[in-house]
Amino acid sequence: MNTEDLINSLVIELRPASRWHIAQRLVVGVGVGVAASIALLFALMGPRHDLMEVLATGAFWTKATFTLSMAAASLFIVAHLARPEQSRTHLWFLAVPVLAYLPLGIDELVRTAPADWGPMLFGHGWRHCTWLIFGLSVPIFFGLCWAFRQFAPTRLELAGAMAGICSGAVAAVVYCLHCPTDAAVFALTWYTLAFILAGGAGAFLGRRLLDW
Amino acid sequence: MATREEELKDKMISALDGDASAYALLLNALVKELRIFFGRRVGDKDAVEDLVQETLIAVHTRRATFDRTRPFTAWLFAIARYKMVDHFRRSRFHALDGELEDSLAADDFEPASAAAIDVERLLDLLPPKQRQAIQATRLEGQSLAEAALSVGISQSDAKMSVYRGLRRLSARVQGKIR
Repeated sequence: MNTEDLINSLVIELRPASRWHIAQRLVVGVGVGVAASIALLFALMGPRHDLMEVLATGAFWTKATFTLSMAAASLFIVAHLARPEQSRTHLWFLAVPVLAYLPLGIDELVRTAPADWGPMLFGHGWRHCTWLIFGLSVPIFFGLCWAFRQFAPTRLELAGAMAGICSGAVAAVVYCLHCPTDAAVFALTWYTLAFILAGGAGAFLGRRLLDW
Repeated sequence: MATREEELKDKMISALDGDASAYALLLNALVKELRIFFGRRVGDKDAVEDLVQETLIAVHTRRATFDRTRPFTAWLFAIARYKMVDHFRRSRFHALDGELEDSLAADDFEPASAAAIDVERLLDLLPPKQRQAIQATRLEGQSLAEAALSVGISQSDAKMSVYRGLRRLSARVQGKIR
């Protein structure tokens, strides 16, 4: 096919494009992923028994804020990587939620006798927590990959890693509905580990899934 | 006087709002820019034209990722560079890519029945859309428009299907030889 014919066919196919195309697709992709993730949470483990009571506590909401701000920061970076130009990526955004939550964790450690650090850190089901978040992140990750099908990422590993971290962070928001432990030390350790795992998996899959 | 950047960006923004004539002007202008860009960086002339077309398709399908507040040429050449890196990455397949394409397009293809059987067997390995697109354009000699119509897809989709299918076949053939 010659280039002239190609141009003609592309012109015929032209439809107006929304200014908010990237944001719209990300919202749809993450939204569908979150719906699947919540369904998974209810099917596998259900909400925590005291959910209604803890909605009134500060510890629950600081943990929720930690996960929400992580989700927001990583989603912002993901949206940035959807465009092809290699401009500055604000990776340090990811450190903000951790650094903001860290003083609370240190405060907990200071207030607690060292002998009780173990139970606080290992909480209730720490073994599952990281893997459950990782599992809940899978549908969200694929929602993001779907969104990326019309994007133009040029740094595939990085975009994959950020999509992974983002899906982990959003999954952690969902997981707050279940997780019975509100200690900052607990969330800082095991949630963050889940984000790192999801980011690593995303980087690995990015090359394959995000190529265009 | 408007700079090249401003000129192209204006046309792009009109195109994003659905102005087909601005879009046609834009794409034709891009062909010139891209031929120069790839011509300087890629030796093979056919490869240059392939890359120009691939980049046009990418510009078309990814056009919504252009941010109207940022420079257009930076966006365009980021896409072109990505396509070029992709090209170099698979350039070791290129010799075969050309051969396969030639053998499929050759007029005296029919007598080589053994080859035809091989080609059919190879085509069976492809997804139906790619197989049909290649069969229609390369074996039955239909135009791209006819092929697109008969397969029931858009022309650019047909073009991409042919391209991807051929690329896959050559990778496959290469794998068998090795």
